Amino acid sequence: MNAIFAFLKQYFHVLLFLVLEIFCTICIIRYNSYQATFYFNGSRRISGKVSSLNNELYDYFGLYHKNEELVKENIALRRRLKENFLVEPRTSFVVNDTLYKQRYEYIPALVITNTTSNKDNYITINRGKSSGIDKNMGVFGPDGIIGEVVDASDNFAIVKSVLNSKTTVTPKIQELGYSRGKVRWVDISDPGYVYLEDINRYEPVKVGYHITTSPYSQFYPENIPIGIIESIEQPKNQTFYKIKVKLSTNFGNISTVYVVKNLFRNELVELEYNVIRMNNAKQGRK
Amino acid sequence: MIVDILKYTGLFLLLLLLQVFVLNRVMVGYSYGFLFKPQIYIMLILLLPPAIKHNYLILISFFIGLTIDMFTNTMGINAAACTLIGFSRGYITRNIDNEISARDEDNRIWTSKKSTGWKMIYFITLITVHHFIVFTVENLGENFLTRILPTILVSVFLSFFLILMLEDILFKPAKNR
Repeated sequence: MNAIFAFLKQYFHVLLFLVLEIFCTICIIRYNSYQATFYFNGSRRISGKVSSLNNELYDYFGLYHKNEELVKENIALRRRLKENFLVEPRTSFVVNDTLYKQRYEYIPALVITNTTSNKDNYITINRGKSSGIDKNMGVFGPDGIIGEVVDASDNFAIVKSVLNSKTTVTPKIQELGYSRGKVRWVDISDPGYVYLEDINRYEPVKVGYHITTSPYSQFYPENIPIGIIESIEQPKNQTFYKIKVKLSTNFGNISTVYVVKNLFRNELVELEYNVIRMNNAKQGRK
Repeated sequence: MIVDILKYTGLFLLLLLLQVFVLNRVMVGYSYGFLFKPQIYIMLILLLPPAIKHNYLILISFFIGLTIDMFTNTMGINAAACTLIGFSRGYITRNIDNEISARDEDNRIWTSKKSTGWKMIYFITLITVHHFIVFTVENLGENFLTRILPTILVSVFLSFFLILMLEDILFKPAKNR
């Protein structure tokens, strides 16, 4: 105790000095607005720095949850991506022009079921008669042709895909500019390739030529891609090439398709039917 | 002792009047008026007898500063600076008492018995410390190089010369009386 008193006595002036200075500082802050703002700003800056440091630390520990949230958000945003949606004009738009008469109308649809492993593959789409889809309409996707509608209910339609032994497509060789042969799916084990048949060995086809739909097709508009020639074989003693075509559509992941409605089809079919009937009648008369 | 107290009280009143009613109100020039802010009242702290106790020195300095603060409406700034000067002056003049009290025959102020060089250094150092604190705290670091530092330099020299002059005038050697 004595030691403490002695110490205090010896350094009382220091103590006094410090006390008075603290008092002065308090006075300065208390009674001088300018200095007070400076002080408070400074202290706020320091406390802000400390709290931001704190925040950073907690942020680090919260990274896992943040990440989860971000993933969720990402998924939500991804769901809203443009690619996931289809512009679905229920009332298909028809041009009423006297010079250019609209021949094709496109009805968008989404694929519900799809197979590629069977011998005869069919695709179900989510549009049917209520959207104007009916039998014998061509279907193509963003990358190329897909098939043709074989049956339709009110809200759904069945599409016979190109990967079907009964499907044949009339092709056009883009580089040569004319239609030859027919495209069929022969190699059942490989859904990536079709064969272009009935091409005469004197045709100047080459690997890399583009195969598209022909203008003579009932189902498709012209120039919808089918695929690219992958290889050309020439079997011995045969007049036809065996041409392997790589399909431009990956049938494994088709999702949005467009159904082609040929506005003149009924008229055409009727006309052709009439001609055939008249021929038959003539023959019958003979 | 009593005479000393009265003498210093008179000096305090004189300095207070000079500082508050003359020096603080004189405006030198218009655009450079901020440079001239001499603070001569600290002369009292500088001239307090060296024999005074350190505690009293600090307290007296504090109250001198506080008094000036009351007049200039800068609560605490001058008091803080003066307390610091009083505190450091205690260490500077701690051993002077023994040197001069031995030959203290007339009533001259104790500074006149020291050498001129020592006196100048003593004055200038403490004045600079005081001015530095007062002006820095007053403006708190804003425009330090362009405004505070010139003010400190000019005002320190003004204060120094004013204090020297006042000391010469007030405390003339006894033979001239």
